[in-house]
Amino acid sequence: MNQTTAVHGEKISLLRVLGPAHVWALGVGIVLVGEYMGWNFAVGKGGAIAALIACWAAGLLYTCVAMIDSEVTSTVAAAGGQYAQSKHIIGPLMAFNVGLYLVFAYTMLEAANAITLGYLVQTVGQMAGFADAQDKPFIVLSIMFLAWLNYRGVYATLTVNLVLTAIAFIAVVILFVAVKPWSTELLNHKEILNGLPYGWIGVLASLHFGLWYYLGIEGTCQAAEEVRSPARSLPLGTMAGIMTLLIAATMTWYLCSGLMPWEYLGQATTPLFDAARLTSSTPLMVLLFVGTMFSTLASANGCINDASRAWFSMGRDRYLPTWFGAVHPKNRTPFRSIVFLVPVALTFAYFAPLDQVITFSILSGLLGYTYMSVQVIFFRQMWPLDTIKRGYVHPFHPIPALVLLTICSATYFAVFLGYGTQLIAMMVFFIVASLWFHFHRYKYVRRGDQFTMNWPRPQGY
Amino acid sequence: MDNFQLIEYAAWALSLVLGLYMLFDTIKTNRAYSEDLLTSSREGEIDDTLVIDPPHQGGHL
Amino acid sequence: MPLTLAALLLAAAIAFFIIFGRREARLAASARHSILDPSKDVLDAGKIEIDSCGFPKLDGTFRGRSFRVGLIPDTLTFRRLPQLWLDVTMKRSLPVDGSVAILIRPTGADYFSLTDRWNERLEPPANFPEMCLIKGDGPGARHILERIAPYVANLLHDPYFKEIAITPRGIRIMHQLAEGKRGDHLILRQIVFENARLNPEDLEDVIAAVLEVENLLLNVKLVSAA
Repeated sequence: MNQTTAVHGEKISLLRVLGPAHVWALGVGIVLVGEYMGWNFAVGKGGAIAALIACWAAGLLYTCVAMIDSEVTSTVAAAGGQYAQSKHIIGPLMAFNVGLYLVFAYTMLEAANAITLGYLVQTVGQMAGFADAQDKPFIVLSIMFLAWLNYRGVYATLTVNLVLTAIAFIAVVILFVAVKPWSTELLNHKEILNGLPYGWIGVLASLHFGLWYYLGIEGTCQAAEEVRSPARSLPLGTMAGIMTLLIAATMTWYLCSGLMPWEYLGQATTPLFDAARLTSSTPLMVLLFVGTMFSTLASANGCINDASRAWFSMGRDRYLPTWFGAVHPKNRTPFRSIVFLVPVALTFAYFAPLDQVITFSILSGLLGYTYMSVQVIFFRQMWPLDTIKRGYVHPFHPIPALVLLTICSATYFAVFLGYGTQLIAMMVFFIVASLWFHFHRYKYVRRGDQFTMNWPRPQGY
Repeated sequence: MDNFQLIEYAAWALSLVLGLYMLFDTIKTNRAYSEDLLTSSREGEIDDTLVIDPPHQGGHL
Repeated sequence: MPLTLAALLLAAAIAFFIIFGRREARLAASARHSILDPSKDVLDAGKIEIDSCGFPKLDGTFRGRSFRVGLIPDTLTFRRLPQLWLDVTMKRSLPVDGSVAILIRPTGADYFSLTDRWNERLEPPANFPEMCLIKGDGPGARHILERIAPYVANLLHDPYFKEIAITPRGIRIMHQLAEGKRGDHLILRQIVFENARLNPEDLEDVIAAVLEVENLLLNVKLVSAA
């Protein structure tokens, strides 16, 4: 019956499940795009050194996320990521919010990818001599095209996807080597790195965009099998992904901060491609062009896919009108959810600047991580270690949760520094949405249908 | 109109075509199938056609 | 960058993707269409057609009963690999005054499941270990569940078992046939059911299970060598 790999029930070794070529997929695809664009806004907020510190602090945040998420995922047998977990551990209102965080984070990431793509094509046009090349048509086309692909539901294997993924990753490495980091021929850190232009408050402020290097890693490596043996250890996939990104992020930071002064780097749209341009090497430019194109397209595709599934799930669970829970009879895709989210992405991609779109995505992600830290505290309290069977038990609880909460709080403050309007707008949005859910939707929710784990009554209830 | 503008117009045109395709297909699908069927696919039904009772096998219902 | 060279490169790349893509699509389609071929002869008068979603379905009879074997691709659960469900349905009138559907590992996004249609939730019997959702309809639902529960508890030992549904019009069992390849899903959310094939033995096992359930509902021993 099962042509799938014969690993169900066996100890899963990384290479066996993924295959050597697929190891490249770790941390790549949706997430490597964070090296190609967005992270450099951290440089604008506090200078290059601050951005590096933010990168490492964000690495710590994501390690905590990985630990906490692994425990909860290995215990909640229901597939569905954080959304399903919150249904079981807290309840419908929280699940509704988590669903919204996910949809918003991915839709804004999709918009950011589209903006980058449009800008890239525009830049190439300008380099070819067309001074008034536009980016808007390509922003719109990339969203429309990927939405259409997702609407149709594509079953073909694009076997070349592995090659492209490898290119996206190798491009960074090749560029790093090409700028001769061991010499000062091209890189000029001594002159360009000027300490902390905004002092230590700048370091705090740059935490805001530091998250961008890794945003989405907790979801990318999580694609549950239908029948899974609960992991008994921290999934190597996620940790390897974080390590990969940490290395890639440091390399990216090193080469960009040595080539471009922080005032420029801090507002560039495509820092790696710009770095390639500065080397004046056409092959490098082509390589980075392909890398940027592929990582943004792959990321946007995944975003449309995930966001529409989350919206669809909320419709099916009756948190949203069930109208969204429709499945296309021929394509088997959540067609109404896909079509509904297209104008949302288009509006932000067309009208909002890249740093603001990224900020919205980061804020939604932050809300999710904050929730995660609170959720695991609840989780351990209501169902202590010996009451239900857990796969992986993360060590030193509650330290990871508290570290996560602390870094999240610091990051909210970091966002407030300079993007206070966005922060307040998001908070208002989620409060209004929660109120709408409470007063208007909750009566439709079928409580019994959702809690399907056979856990004992939580302690204290 | 220079070459790049041509490409831009082509991009707009393609976006329009894809967008209209999705819109019209959504409307068409909404009209062609009942709401009940769309939110819970046709496979759920064991439909009446082709229901055949097996031949009698001696003394039972 | 010389413009003509760049334009030629771009055109070449697009052409490559289109040609390559179409070839891949063709290969994928032919692989898809032949998923049920190995089991064609399990059913008498077995006929394979391609349904409107591009997947094959097999119609035929088995011991005089009408069977349909279908495939349902499911890519709709958030954070889960794409699934290919095997749907084996026996269509006949059953002397039951109600319907029951038992769905294992519900995710909320199981649009293909009959548990969607009914509102009465039934308690899973004690020896059903897995996460399961049981829905019923009509006055006889509980009675049906009681009758089939011991046998279904047995079926649940198979981790790939997904759903069983009993209605006055027939019995349906669903199994996982294939799962999407992880790497392709992670990178580009592609749906690749590699080497998916329905082996005749597996189909016969499911059909046997369906007939056993039918037996329980009719309370009749099947005459052997039918």
